[in-house]
Amino acid sequence: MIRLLLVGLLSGCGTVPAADYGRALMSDRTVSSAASNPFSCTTCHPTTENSTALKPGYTIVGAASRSAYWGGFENTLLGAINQCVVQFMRGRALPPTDEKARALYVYLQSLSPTVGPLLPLTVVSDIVDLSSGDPAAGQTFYTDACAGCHGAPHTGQGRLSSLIPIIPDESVAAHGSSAQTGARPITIEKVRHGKFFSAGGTMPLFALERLSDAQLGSILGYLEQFGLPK
Amino acid sequence: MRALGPFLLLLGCQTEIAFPLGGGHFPSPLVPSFVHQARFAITNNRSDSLSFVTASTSPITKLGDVPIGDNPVELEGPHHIAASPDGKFLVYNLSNYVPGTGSGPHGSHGLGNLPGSLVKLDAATMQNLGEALVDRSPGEVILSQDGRFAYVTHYDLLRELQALTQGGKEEMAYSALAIVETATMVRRSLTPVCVTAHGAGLAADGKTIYLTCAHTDQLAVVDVADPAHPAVVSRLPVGPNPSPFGSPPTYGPYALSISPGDGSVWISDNNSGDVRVYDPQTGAMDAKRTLFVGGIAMFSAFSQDGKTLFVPHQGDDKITLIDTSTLSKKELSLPAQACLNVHLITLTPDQKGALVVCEGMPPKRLGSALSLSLDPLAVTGFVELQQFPDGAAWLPPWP
Repeated sequence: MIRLLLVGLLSGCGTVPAADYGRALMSDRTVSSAASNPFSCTTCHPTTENSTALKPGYTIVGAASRSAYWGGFENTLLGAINQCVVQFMRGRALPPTDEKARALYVYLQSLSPTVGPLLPLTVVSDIVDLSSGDPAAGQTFYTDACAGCHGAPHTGQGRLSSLIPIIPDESVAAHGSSAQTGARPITIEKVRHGKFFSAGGTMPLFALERLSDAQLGSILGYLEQFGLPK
Repeated sequence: MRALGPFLLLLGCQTEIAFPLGGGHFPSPLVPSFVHQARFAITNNRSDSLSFVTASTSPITKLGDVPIGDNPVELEGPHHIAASPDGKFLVYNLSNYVPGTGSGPHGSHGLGNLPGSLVKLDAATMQNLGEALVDRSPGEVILSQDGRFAYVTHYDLLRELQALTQGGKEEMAYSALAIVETATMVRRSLTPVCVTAHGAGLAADGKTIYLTCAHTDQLAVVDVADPAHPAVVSRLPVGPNPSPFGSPPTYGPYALSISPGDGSVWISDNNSGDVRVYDPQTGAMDAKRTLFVGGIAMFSAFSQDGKTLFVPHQGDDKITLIDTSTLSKKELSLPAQACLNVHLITLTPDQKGALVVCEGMPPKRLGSALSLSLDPLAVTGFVELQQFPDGAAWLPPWP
């Protein structure tokens, strides 16, 4: 909101170039009509071309010119945007005439000078336990992939919203330590399925291309230090 | 932007978004070139996609695949499909019933514990035009002759199981018939009809729908003259030894076709491997017209004159042609490399060819589609589709 206000002020209040407005919207959770939505586009999407950030979504650079989205499921950019708006941000789908949608498109076009490829999306449908990896590496991966929403392990410090669970504590409290249905398989499932497969919530999923099993295993190793069942 | 309003108004200014001249408009969805020819759309139940194939007696070719469904992550199980009379839109069921795919602490994916939906799809751009919530495990979908109403059956095995485990009455196990107005995609009614309703056919006058009730060996006759208030007229046993509720079906009526000649209803039975006929003139089954075809009788189709019924059957993967006047039969074997588990047959409008859809054996073997010439009767070609093709609809060339 502050960015949007700045855009307005810097533009002399009269007009705001659509690309500037679109850029500001990328970090604004009001893209969604849901008041409780904590996410913005940049919560899940890197904003630089060769970013190595562990985020569920691909970079927004080149997004407007890709041939398809969501691993080929969505053929239009607006359809891809609305998957996020509806599934994770719990808002109403943006119609093509919506001012915000159009501004996002103008901004994304400015970042998409050439035709981009279809990017793969491999969903891990069958959940199996993973070997725990190096906790030190796991800390790095956790900070990059998880902390932006969940905050610090055990305390939740810095989490995006009080509605987002503190892990692993709240997961352990809710699900216990069963090898089949406890906090450990729940953690893996939430990472791999997000809100889908009847898992609930609004978390996006990490496809294999965005977070490897080895990286996830290291995160599990790190979280074991805070009480995640081994 | 509305939320900024108060701040900017306090500053005494009004902000507008300046779009580039002629810019800021999302491009129109691409229209595949193949929409300009006659084609069949085929649902792939376990791939969440539609396959498009040619519709003629020439060797069949695949035109393309299009992903469908509501979300890009889960398999939603597009089941059967129907096309509007003008070919402008398609409707298909999302069954949310795809057992054995995906697992985790929240259980196997699907299992039909979520309501399904009926989706309306633009036949050119493949964009969703609307969606109506129906009940669990929608099965067949058919349209009224004018395309105004869609009739959706439900093969709700969970409801049957719940009724049985709770010692409930048969009525507790009834699956519903949903009627949806296609212009608005508003569901006009959801009416319990019978146990595991599946196959459906609308009488020529559009006022009566016939439904197969697979697990109770019945044919349900439903008055749908008022789409908001359908009424079950009768539930007739399809044979002399119907199975009582809760026992394995004797006949397993699964699909049906209505004769364009005399309006008789020809029922394909899974378990007894035969076709049985209901005569609407007498309001009773005609036991004399019971025709054993072998295998598991599936979704049949009539020739336009009503003189021939084409019945596909699984197990032996054959098509039996029944002369409806003499009740004589002849068979066409489908080549094993071209078809495993034949599911349906539908004729091209010119009556010179037919499309046959085979399920395959997911996930090991993909499904397939075969083209037939009817005179002489022969397989002219086949193509691989995706996982578990399930329903098919013919579409005219897009203008």
